[in-house]
Amino acid sequence: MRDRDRGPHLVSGPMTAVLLAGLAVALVGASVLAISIGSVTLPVGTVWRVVAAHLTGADSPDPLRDQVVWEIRTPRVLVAALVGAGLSVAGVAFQALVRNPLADPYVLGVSAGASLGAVLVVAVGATAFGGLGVAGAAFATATATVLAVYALAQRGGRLLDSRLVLSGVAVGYLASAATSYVQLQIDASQLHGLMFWLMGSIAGATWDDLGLPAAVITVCTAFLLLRGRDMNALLAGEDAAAGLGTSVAALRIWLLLAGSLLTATAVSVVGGIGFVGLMVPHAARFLVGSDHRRVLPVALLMGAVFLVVVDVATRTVDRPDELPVGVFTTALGVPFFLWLLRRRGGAR
Amino acid sequence: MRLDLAGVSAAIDGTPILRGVDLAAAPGRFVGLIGPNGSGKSTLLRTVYRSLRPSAGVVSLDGEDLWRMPPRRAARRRAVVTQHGDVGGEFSVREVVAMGRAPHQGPLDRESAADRAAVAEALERVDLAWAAGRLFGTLSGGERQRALVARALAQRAPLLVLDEPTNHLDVRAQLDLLDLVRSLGLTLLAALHDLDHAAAYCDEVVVLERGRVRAAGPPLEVLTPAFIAEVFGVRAHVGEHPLTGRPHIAVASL
Repeated sequence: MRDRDRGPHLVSGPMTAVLLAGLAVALVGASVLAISIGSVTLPVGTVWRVVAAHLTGADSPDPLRDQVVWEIRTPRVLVAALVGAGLSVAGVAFQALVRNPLADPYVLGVSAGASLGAVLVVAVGATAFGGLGVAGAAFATATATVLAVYALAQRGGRLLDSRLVLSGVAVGYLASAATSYVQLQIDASQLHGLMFWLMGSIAGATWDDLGLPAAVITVCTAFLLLRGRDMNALLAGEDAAAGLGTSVAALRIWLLLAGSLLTATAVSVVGGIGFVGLMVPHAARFLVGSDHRRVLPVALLMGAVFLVVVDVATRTVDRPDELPVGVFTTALGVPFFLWLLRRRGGAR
Repeated sequence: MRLDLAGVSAAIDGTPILRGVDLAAAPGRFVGLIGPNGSGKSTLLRTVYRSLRPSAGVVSLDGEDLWRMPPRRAARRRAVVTQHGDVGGEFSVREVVAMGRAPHQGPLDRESAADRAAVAEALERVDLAWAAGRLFGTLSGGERQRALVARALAQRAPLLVLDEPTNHLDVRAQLDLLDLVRSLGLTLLAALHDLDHAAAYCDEVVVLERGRVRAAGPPLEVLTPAFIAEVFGVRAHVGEHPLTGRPHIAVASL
């Protein structure tokens, strides 16, 4: 029987590798374009020369363009790619955890918790947070939120399905309410920058923003890939997964941790960017089926490409002004998502 | 493979469901677990799936405590077909059956020749080789259930546990499935609703009532009309099936 190469999915067997290679090429292409486009549009060739010079350690041809390409736009594009990848992988993890296709990285309140930290820093000053910046405070409160959700949703160390989503929603609303209250106490002048962050913005990303997300995404994705078979089994339910030899209770806690860590990292760097983590996993499954060992790498690359492209749109549509990236992910994402649902006849 | 439950109690959300259940399934025997709704059949099976830890008592396979084994080792000895026959995603039939190889594979292992052979053999055994490339969700109810049996067969476990495997199947698919699992030569423990199926297919039945074993033994010794009336609240005719010659139970309301 040589049936295994001819699956029922749009992309299966060896074609999965071709898809991944294609997405990798698309990511490089989109990144180069994203670096060249902006308030000053630079030729793609110039972008290549500057990037190549930095990668090889050679002298840069032109200090001004070097500044724009290497100090401003390259880190921004890389942050967009990392955040898109991280949110997409987080979406895969959370959808497996709560076994609900409508789950997204924010369903368990992580994003709301991060926002609370961010507004608190602006309202009371960084010193009250031990010198943490907006990102650090957001990460801290997001972590506290997850711990609260876990404490509410577990019994004897096992996460209870019935309580998990409700606990996440409840804690999320509490954090949102607190965020709204703190916002009212803030000066109007500070509010504008904060709103931008709350709606999601990649503007102002620097090289310093890259290390943590890169490390978190690498570790979490590698971990999830190793548990791909267990995640597949969990889709069939806890009993069936236990019957297949999966340690269900431990797996679900790991999924919560990995998904939350990815989300908290992304939100603390760029604020709340909606829809990526909901939509990209679905798009990946649409192509390759539900096997997490294929869904995870495909979602990772698709999410990266998507957010790089969206970030270009935020910079170019309303020039010279910039729009919040969250507005665009939703505006582009919703029509695509609805199209996907219709094509699949409303199936999961 | 011999399965033993000794004094097993279990609770769900603090409510005791099983109270000191003893049960034994000798190698190669088909043991039917029967009892009215709420008697604890599914809860008992969950202690064997390792998805609900007993609050007291021991579940053992050939004398080894199932709950003290590493999970993958347990899954190489005991396979499961759960009640809700869904796989929860877009998988081909072949992908579903290949999940049964998980307990034989390390996290980094790719599919080996032995895995492929086991999957092909399992598909062949349940007569679904033709459907290997189809989406699981496009199969009929009977075919899905056979695919899940094939997933269990791919585990190559000597004990197979099934929870109401004939639920929602048409009459022919019900009998085909029971014939199939009986022909596998495995130790079988199955929760069954249909007393006639239990009488015709099982070597022994264990009757649960309110979380306790009410009776256990060969079907015709246990399932007398008086006993059925008492436990299930129905009138029963117990005789020989006119077509198959096997034990036959027909029921009517009291």
